[in-house]
Amino acid sequence: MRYCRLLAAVLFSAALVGAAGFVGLAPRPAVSLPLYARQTGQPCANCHTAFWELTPAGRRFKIAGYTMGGGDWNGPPLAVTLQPGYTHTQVGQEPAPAPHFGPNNNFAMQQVSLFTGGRFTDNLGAFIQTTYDSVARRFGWDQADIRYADTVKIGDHSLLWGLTLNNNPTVQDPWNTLPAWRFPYIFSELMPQPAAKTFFDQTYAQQVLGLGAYGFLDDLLYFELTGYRPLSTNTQLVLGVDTTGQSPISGIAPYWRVAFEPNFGNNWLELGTFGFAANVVPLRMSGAGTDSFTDIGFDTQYQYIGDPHIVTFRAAWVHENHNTSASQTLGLADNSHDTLRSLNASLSYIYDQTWSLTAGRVSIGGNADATLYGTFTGSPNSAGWITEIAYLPFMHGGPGFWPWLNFRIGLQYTFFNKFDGASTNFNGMGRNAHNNNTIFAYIWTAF
Amino acid sequence: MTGKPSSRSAPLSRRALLQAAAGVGGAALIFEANGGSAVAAPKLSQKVVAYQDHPDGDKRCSKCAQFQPPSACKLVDGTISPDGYCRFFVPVGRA
Repeated sequence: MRYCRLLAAVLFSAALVGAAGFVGLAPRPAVSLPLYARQTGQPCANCHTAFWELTPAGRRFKIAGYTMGGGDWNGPPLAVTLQPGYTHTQVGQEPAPAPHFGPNNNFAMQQVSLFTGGRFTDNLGAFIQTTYDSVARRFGWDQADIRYADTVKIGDHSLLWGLTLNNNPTVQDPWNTLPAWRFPYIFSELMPQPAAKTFFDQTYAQQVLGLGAYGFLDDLLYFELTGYRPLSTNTQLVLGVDTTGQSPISGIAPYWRVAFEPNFGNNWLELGTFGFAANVVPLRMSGAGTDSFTDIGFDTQYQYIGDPHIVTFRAAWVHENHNTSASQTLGLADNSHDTLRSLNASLSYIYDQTWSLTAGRVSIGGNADATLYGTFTGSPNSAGWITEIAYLPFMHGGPGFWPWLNFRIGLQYTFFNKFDGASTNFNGMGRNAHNNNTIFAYIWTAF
Repeated sequence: MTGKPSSRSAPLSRRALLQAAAGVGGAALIFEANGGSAVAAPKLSQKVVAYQDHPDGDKRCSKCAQFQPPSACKLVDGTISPDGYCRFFVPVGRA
């Protein structure tokens, strides 16, 4: 079965690449993350402060459809990333966090990803990722974003506009404040995770297909509207998606985004708002109709891009209104209406784009609903701090034998103040929030 | 907010998924066909790459692999001076 999924994912990627290549018609130099570094002839440091966080140029490379060239690479448009990591929690987890792993002190090759895409034509490009997840022991498609982009002049104004076809709300966003690309850029798949999260927070990643249009006016004002529809269960299975416990979208779910990015010399400020709304079929049980949710949020990002000093502050706040009347009828929720609020904020100092120090705050809160969240306390409330130090030796260019090699070697510590509604005895079996504090060491490799 | 999903909201099948991908490719083909080679790839603005109209030591646009004489760049929009410089400077032969 695994090989069927592997074949299906490879064939799907090949179909996308092939279709786009057909559009290009005439032979072009092959293009290609390190994929994009080879395509543009630029080191990682020009588009990433410390990967994955994007610089202003990196954001525009993405908005412009991954099409900018400049490099002389003639090889295949491929790149690979590896995520080996070691996870230690303050107190071991019972049961173990995943099959085939122990209660504590686990090594895992979390992800092995193959990327393709880049520039297909002057105006058509893509970011396509397939991943083998060794914790879930599953191969499938991961992030995918295919774009068409062009620039038009409207009087004295310049509009960079585009279309995006993608499989995850927020994967297309160019700032590092929203769930798909926010800090922490890598985290342990084996650490305890709070029970509650908003629908906006990657709930539908890889389960949907969205088609949207966006514009970036005068390098200043970004706006986007995308509609998402669910993929059928069979399609998801072929693509390697775990379909258990899903509450699929019913109909079309709109996602909207507006962001304003003024620039003052080396200072780049972003102020934005976003939203995502849908009707959903709770746990695929359609007998009682649908639930619905509306997630609305605000975000900001500030970057000081100096040499050798870079400072970035990122923050996003989301409020979720969740109509759970269908779930209540089905016995899946206590209330007919619930709310959640989440905050993710972080501050990074980056030296010479080689050393990165980051501290972040994450929290989620809302009203209690023991049946919906499945917590002992009934509360969805969790909060904690994340600190990380990372060393990126090759941001300015890799070793002579393979200039596109790069590493992010990091040590991350997550400290929980509150977990699933309580600081102490949150699970009714004497486990405290601090017991979930986690040290995660990793060597994220890209080539 | 309640009621069974209509047939219009049926999940997307593999065929629909590939049709959507092909649709974007087809739309791009139409744009390319209509615009031909005149539809150039979008470029970065000069402020994003911190372009300046004077060199940075020995580093100048005329010695950059991205420079397109007499006054353009593969990556940066607008008029580019051969004596200019930006963060994306790559010496000739290193792109």
